[in-house]
Amino acid sequence: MSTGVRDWERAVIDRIVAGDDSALAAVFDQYSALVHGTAARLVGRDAASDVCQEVFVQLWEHPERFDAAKASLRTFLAVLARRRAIDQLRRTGRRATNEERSGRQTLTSVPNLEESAINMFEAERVRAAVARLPDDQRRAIELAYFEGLTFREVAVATGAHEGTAKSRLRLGLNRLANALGSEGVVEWA
Amino acid sequence: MGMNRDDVDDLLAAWALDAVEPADREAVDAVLLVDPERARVARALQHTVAALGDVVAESPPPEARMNVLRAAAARGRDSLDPTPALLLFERQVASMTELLVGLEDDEWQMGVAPYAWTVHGLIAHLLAVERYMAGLIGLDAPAVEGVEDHLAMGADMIAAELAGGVRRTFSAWKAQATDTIATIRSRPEALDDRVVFHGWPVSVDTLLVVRAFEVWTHADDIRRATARPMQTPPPRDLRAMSMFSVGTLPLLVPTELVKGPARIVLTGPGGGTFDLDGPGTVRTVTLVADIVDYCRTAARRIDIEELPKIVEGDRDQAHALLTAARVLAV
Repeated sequence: MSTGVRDWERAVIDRIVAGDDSALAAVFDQYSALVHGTAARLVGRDAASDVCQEVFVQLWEHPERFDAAKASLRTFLAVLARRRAIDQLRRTGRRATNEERSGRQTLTSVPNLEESAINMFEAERVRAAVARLPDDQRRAIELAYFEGLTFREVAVATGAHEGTAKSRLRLGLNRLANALGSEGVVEWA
Repeated sequence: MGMNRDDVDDLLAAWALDAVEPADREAVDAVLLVDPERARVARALQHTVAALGDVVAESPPPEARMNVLRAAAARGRDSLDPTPALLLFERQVASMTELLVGLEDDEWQMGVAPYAWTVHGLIAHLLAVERYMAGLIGLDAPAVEGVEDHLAMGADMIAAELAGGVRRTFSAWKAQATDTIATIRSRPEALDDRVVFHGWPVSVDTLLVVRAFEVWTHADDIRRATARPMQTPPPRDLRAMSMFSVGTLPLLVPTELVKGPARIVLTGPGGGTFDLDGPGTVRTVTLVADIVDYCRTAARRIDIEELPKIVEGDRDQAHALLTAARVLAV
């Protein structure tokens, strides 16, 4: 992440801590597509709107929980959205329908036109890195990422041993981290 | 059940993908709290999972933005209560006392920018102000001449103090300030009394905030002059002083420079967001600055141009706001 983005994130959090709701609006404008999209893949669009609201309201109420030394705001919000959505998914059992996933069920399909140019560029690099994964590793990550499956459920879904499912997730995600790290998309903070 | 580090290494990717049961998540979290190297790897894996979000990014419905802002407004914020004025003043007097007690004899004779005074002269000036204030709240204190000018007031008294010893001036200042604090504490209703301070009608409560601001500023002047580190007051004290300062701005900014409503965002501990009315409904300027820097600018210890700040909107109005903030610097 560039220094400019990092500085912007720190400044905008300082403003949120000070109670400036226009800073919250700015963060929403910047990251709501990431947050909403992350949740929508798991719980569907209607429920994703609720998750999206919860995530940004939580940021407003507890901005001190964001630690710029540990993560970018972007990662913090994405993790939060995903955890909220998965908690809801496991609580209610309701998953996104195929229609709600609108034909983007894999991590290698084409981007959404609503994404900004920079995000599209980064998304393309992410897609390319995912596409280079061995099939079994990519499938395991897609099941965990899109379906919200635990590694044990991934094992059942793929007919593999639990240890094998765990290894596929580990090898695949480490490979992705290294690939995206070398391209500057992911930082080894 | 606890996890060993090999177990954690094995699970870390699943953890980053939230592909673990809650019990496993908690167990990994516990290890990461005490293992910085694994925590670093875990963060990188979380960044990677977050990057996958770029692939699925999808704007929420158009109404979502307003819903979030409404929900945030409804939740409000736990705003920090400002320190009560008397306690604020008392703390600054205590802080100044601690500083003065620790000065070496030669340090009392050092010059204190931006004044022509030495440390001794500055404390004699504070003694004059204490006596002026004591007179305003009805205490029997020596009269101070020339009170229409804050810096020039009590010139004869200051000269007499400079002819004496520094300990005498220090003791007299401390005794006068202590007397004022004790008097107001014994009669809290006096906080609402109205007095006229250098021609400005103010409550005693407000006057104490002004005076606390002054004592803090002068203490830092002395720290700077004697090569000591500056001191930042506690958040609630900063909040009290900044609330006072921002609260006076609508009275002090020339109306022709107010193009519309303004927002001042003071960041850092004790900070807050302040909305100032203006013509129309569309905010014409947002000024963002660190709360300590803002206070030092208001006290004329940082030039407006030197203040690190973000101005969104009308820069002239922002400048007018900061200029107005300095009007009451004493």
